[in-house]
Amino acid sequence: MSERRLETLKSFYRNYVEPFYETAHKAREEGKLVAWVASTFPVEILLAMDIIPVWPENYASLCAARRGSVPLCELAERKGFSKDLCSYARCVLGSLFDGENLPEGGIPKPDVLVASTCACDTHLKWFQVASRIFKKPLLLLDVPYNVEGANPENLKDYYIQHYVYQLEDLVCILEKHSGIKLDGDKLRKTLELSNRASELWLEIQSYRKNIPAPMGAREAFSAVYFILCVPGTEQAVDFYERLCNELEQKVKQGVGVVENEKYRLVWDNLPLWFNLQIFQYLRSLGAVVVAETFSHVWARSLDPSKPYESLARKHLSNMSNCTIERRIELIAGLVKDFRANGVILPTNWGCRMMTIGETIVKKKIQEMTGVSSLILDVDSTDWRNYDEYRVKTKLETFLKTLK
Amino acid sequence: VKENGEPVRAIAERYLHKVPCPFMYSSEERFKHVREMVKLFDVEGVLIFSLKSCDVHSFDAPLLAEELRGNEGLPVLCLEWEHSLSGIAQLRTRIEAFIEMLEG
Repeated sequence: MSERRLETLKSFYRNYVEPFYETAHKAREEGKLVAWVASTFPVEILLAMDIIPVWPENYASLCAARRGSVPLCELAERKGFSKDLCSYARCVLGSLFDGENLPEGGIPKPDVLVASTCACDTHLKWFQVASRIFKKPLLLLDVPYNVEGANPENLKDYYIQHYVYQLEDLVCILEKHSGIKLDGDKLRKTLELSNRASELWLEIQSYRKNIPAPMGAREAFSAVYFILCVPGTEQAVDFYERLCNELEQKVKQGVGVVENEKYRLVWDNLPLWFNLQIFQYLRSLGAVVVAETFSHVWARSLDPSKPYESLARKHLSNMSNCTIERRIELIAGLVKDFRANGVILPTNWGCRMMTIGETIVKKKIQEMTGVSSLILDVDSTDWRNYDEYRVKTKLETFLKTLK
Repeated sequence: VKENGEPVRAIAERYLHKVPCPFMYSSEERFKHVREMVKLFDVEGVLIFSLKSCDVHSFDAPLLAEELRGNEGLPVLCLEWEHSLSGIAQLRTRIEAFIEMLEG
């Protein structure tokens, strides 16, 4: 039997995640500037300035995967943070109140925090709290909510101007703060690398359209790290090139990630970071996740000759900054393109942005594609209300109903 | 709203500069506003009432409480509630106990 596991993704944590935190801690000790970054912030700017980006969201998911998130959430709750707040935020804030035994030695302390309002309100407040705790500045991009749809070429000019002005301002502040001048050539080069990583990432996704699919959600939720956190780097391009080559081979050989693929699923929202084995369970039932909405929102082509404008277009048209119709269109499109016969909609307690309207999404997807969805009440990071037996039973029952 | 300026601009300024919603303001600005109210109304204690799932308030509440307790030496009671009548007796008891404590 051919190997179903992907060689490129073996020991992903040890090969990429651990070194990332080691490097960031070391860089801090050496006096390099460290920035806390919220997803949907144009990180290419920081990469081009050699500012080390650290992602609290990534840290929360890492803590959950290491089964360390709940004690940290509890620490934050003891400090008065509501149990209903985003568990990513609680976990990371909790880690600031505990100096010991933190996964990867804790999240490196920031010199500056950067965020944008385009994913959720939580980023703004969470980062404000952290900024107050660290007594370090928070630089924020106010992103107008985009009601125009997802086409980055079809955006109101003043939306783009508003974004670009702020980004220019922000760069000036960063330059002043860091003493590092943003080099135009380096930014262009970063954008070119980011483009290449985007192309490769989309190519990787397109291999999953094949029956049987050569890659599932377990791998995708690891590999998305590069396009999400370090898109404008050689490392991202190199990794995706290797993954592309491997997937091409798997498709040629007709080797799927699941033996006897019976069900093809689209997974919305985030995974259960504390229980990624749930994807193994799905596999054992013959089900493979062929697409995640999370894997289809980060890749976007940028124009290196207009860096600020194209970064503005990229983020203004991000699904999380658009209406619910955009999300429905995206999921329905994935169902069709990836020939899926079921959709899993895991609600994420505390994530209002991705959880509100799930019943509408479910109904609309059914109308548009004829495919059923399963709403799963779970949390990506906090397992205190998680009932493994109930979730497995729901998944199994759902699969049995699929055509 | 400024009545002598260009009206649309004046309305925009009014909405951008009014303080209360923590979504629009950094914690510092809003906390300053609360401290001013504490002085202006000469209060003995502060109730921080967060509506469940109103995240922007819930993020601010512990910091605001800490600041008022620490810097101003004020007794603070943090409550988190929904717009419902369930558990109203418990809410009443907590508030009554807080007031009794203020009365010393």
